[in-house]
Amino acid sequence: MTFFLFLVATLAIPLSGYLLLRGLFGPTLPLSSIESSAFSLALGIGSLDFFMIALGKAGVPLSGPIVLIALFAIPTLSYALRFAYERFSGKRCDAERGQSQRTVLTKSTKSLFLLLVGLAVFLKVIFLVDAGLPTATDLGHHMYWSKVIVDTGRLPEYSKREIVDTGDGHVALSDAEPISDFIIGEHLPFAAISKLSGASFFSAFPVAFLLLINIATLLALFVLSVRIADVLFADKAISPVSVGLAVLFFVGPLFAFSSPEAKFVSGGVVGNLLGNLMIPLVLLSFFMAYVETESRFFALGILLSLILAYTHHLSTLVLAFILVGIALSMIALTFRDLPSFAKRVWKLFASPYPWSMFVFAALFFFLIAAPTYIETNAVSTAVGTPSKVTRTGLSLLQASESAGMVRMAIGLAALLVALFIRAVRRSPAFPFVFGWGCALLIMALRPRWVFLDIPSNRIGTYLSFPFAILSGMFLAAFPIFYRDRSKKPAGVFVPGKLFLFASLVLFSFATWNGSQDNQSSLPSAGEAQDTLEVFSATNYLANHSLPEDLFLKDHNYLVADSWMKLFFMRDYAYPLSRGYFKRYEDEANPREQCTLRMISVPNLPEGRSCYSDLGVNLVAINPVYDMAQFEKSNDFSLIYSGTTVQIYERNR
Amino acid sequence: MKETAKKKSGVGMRPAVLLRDLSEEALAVIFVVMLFVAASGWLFFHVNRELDPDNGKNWWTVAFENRDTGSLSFVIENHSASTTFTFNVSHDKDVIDAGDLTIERGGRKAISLPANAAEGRTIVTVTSSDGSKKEIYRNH
Repeated sequence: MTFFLFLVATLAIPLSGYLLLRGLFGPTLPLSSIESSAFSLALGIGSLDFFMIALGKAGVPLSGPIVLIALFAIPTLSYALRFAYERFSGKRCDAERGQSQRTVLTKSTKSLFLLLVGLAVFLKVIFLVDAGLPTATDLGHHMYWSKVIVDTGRLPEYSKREIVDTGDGHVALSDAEPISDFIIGEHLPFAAISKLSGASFFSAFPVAFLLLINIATLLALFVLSVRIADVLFADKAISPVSVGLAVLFFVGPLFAFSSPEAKFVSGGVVGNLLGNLMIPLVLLSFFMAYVETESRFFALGILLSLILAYTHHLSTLVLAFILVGIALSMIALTFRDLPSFAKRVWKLFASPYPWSMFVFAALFFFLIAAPTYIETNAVSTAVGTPSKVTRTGLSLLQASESAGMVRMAIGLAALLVALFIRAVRRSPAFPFVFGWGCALLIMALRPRWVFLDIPSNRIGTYLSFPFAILSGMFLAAFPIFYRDRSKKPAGVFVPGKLFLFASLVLFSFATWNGSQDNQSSLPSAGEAQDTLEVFSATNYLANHSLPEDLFLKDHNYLVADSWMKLFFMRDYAYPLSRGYFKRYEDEANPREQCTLRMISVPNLPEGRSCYSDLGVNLVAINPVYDMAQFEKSNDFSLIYSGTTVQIYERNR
Repeated sequence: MKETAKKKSGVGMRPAVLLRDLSEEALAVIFVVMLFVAASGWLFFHVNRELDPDNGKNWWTVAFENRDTGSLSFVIENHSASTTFTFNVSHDKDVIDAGDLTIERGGRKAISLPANAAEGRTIVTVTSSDGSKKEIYRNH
């Protein structure tokens, strides 16, 4: 029953998104079914976010019925108003609606499309079957905030208590301080689904929802590459759908387990996954707006960008750089046609649609809520000269590992070859892919050039999509180098056997590299029992907890430890945590040492001093690694004993 | 043209005809949705099974029943194949209590013992029939 309700709640989101899509932009906005589906999911998430934020800020408790209203009220109203307007104004006839339907797939290409998508989903499910348990650190952190919304019916205040130096050689626990790492759009959809379906966060529902986002991303990349190819290869020497299918091959079955694919799904990297869906859709909207001089697409792109801004800060920053890269590429590559370019852009602004979106964005931002990273001035920490060695840029090899070696190799080759083909270079579609790829390459390899101060490996994960598109284009365009000698060749041609050999090598390299990545990423089974033991221990403590208790746990050796906070719901940083050992040695980012000392050296003066200052009286550890130092101490009682988790209580 | 448009729009059509009139692409989207339903269904089934504490699992725990520092009453929770447990309570190497009990898989049993706040370490050691041993203790 819970699963059925989960499905209903989850699929209600794209349904509401579809109502909003057609309500805002009309039935004549030319979209294929696949485009409609992907846009609907993104808009559904966005409208849910905006209305829950607005209602939450207005003090309305976010109960189940309110969430339902947030999901459907405005989209239904907009659709109804649009329907009434279209019907009674006499502007539309059924023939027009028929003409607004585009198609990308035909009967002959549908089978290959379904095979590729089916294979991709199958591979991801194999990965998620063992990696989809509620154990992932990031997912635990995000689900805490979603549970706050469900439990309290209010929007969360992103804050946490921290251990701070009091300046006299002692430490203390601070009051809750604001944190900028989380954005509301990452948590509202999960809270809504849980509220509507009753699904527990300790189930497959978070991972299943993220899988839906990932599948929709594949569809978004497919249609984006088809649309770009449709313009790029305007002479139809290469079928746009074949490009889309080749791209689907590079982002679907190949590298199915990598970041940002199934690993991000199981790892609960929520913001990145939502960003990976939104970015291609924003680019598709702006691309269609430019190519067709259709301001409704432009407005759609603005709206999706706004949704992204309230969902994930890093993706928003990456999108901003991508758009700048595309704009500069367009100016540089079409400078001969600058007046025409400017005229097209002007036409996009000369319509009420985009201005309505700008006005909505301004009103929401200033009157209702700004994204948390704006309120906490987090932007200034991301822009500037790289401050740590991990932010000074990746090497080309590291970038290839992030993007997938075959995608990087073929994508770079495609980029370089395209620069030498005038017809491609001068196409209005080329700057989109060129600017996208180059912007991310610079951000990942040379962040100093663009004053970026963000871990470079995070940027590296964004490389896979533009280079998958470039690789797909190259793979689909490869046959063009082969020409039948009896016909007049338009360019370079190679003998048939050599061409066949080259094609086989290319295909084999792609398949080997992509599936090798899959193979090396398969998780090992067997965490379920350890997870259950940790949950059981935490449940014990939650049921026997006193208000004055202060609990410390270990992150290094306890499975699913970030989920322990969901049993207490006291504070994001409760229980306190001994983090990864290397973090305590990071001289560029010094941190408190008490959480380390209280577990590693509880009997030494420095450990005792921390216990005394902070009042920590409960500690959870993995006995395989950390039992010895507690067992020999007379200050601790062992009150809970399992195989992979023990709880010690410090005598007062 | 009006009739063709009407047919395309599906106005006034029966559902069976509507399905036939759906484009290849719309059918592909429906297939993808069904794929997601099947995939998420499998994930739900699998995760529920993995999070079942008794299904294919072999673990048990022992814990003090309450937080009173003098209380020695304890609880055994069993999710293993073993059902027989032996306990003994010792203080400074003197055994002050002992016993056997049976707990079926999936069960938990509390054992009440007299409080003891004597100086030193009082240890409750529990051994299951498969030889695995766990202990909890209070230090005073």
